[in-house]
Amino acid sequence: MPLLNYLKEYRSRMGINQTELGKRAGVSRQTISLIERGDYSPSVTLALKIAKICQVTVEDIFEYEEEEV
Amino acid sequence: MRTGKMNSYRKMGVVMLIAAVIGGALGFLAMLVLGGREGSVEAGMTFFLTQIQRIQLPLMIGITILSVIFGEINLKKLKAIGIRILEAEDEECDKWEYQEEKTGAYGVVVNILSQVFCILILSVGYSVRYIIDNHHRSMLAVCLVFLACYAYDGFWQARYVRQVQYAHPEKKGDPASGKFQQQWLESCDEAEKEVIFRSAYKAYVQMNTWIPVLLVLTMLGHLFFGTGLMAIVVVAAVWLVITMAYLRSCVSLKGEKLR
Repeated sequence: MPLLNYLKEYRSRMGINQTELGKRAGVSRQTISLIERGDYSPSVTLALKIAKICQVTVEDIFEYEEEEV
Repeated sequence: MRTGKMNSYRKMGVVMLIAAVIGGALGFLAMLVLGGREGSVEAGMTFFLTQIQRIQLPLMIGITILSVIFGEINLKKLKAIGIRILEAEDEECDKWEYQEEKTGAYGVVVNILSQVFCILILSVGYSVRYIIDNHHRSMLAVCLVFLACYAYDGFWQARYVRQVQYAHPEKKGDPASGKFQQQWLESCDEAEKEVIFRSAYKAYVQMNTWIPVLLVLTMLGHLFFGTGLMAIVVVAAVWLVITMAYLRSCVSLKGEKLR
C-alpha cells in the first residue's frame, strides 16, 4: 500500500475515538477504521475534511510512498 | 501490439474449437445414453413430480417452519451483536461488525432459499389442469401456507433492516418504500459505496459466466427431455436485461460527466 497514514496518532492526540471522528467527518466508524489500517484510501474531499478536523495539513496525516520497482 | 492481437484471436479460436469438440462429444454421449429412452425419462419425471405433488403441503409447511425458526434465531443473534457494537470500542467494534455482516448474510441467504423453494414447490401443482382434477382443496391449503411463508419472509427482511439501523443509526431508508435501495445507498459513505459497487460488479461478472451455462443447460433439456422453449426464452431474457441495464448505466453515467 503506497499510502501511509498517521491518522491513529493524530486521533489519539485529540483524545477522540473512531466513532467521534467519523461523526465529525460525516462517515461511519468503519471507514475511519479502514483508513487507519491502510485498507482504504480516502477521497481528496474526505482527506481534506479529516485534516481540517485534526487541524493539520493532509500531508501531515497522509504520506505517499513510491513503490520500489 | 499487432502480434498480441493476433494471439488473442488465435486463443479465442482455440477455445471455441475445444468447446465445440467437447459439446459434440457430450452430445454424442448423451445420444448414446438417452437415445430412444425419451419415454422412460418422461415417465421418471412424471413419477417424481407426482410424488412431490403428494407431499406438497407438508413440504411447504416444513419450509415455512424452518424459515421461521432460522429467521428468529438469526434476528436474536443480530440483536445481541447490535448491542455489542453500540457498547464496543474501536478495534473490538471491527470484530463485531464483521460478525454482524456474516450473520446477516446467512439470514438473507436462508430467507431467499425459503422463497425459492416455496415457489418451486408451489409450481409443481400450479396448473389449472391439476387444480380442477379434484385437487382444489389441497392446492388452496398449499397457497395459504405459501402466502404465510412469503409474508413472514417479507417481514423478516424489514425487521433485518431495522435491526441494522438500530446498530448503525446513520443508515437510512424505509424497507416498505419502493425507493428503499436508493435511500439506503444515499446514507452510505464513500468506503461503504465502494464495497457495494465492487460487489455489484462481481455479481455482474458472475452472472455473465453462469447465464450462458444455464442457457446451454436449458437448450440441452429441451433437446433431450422436451422441457419446452419457455425456460430458454426466460434465461435469454434475463441475460439481455442484465447486459442492457449495465450498459445503459455506463452510457448514462458517462453522459452525465459531459454535461
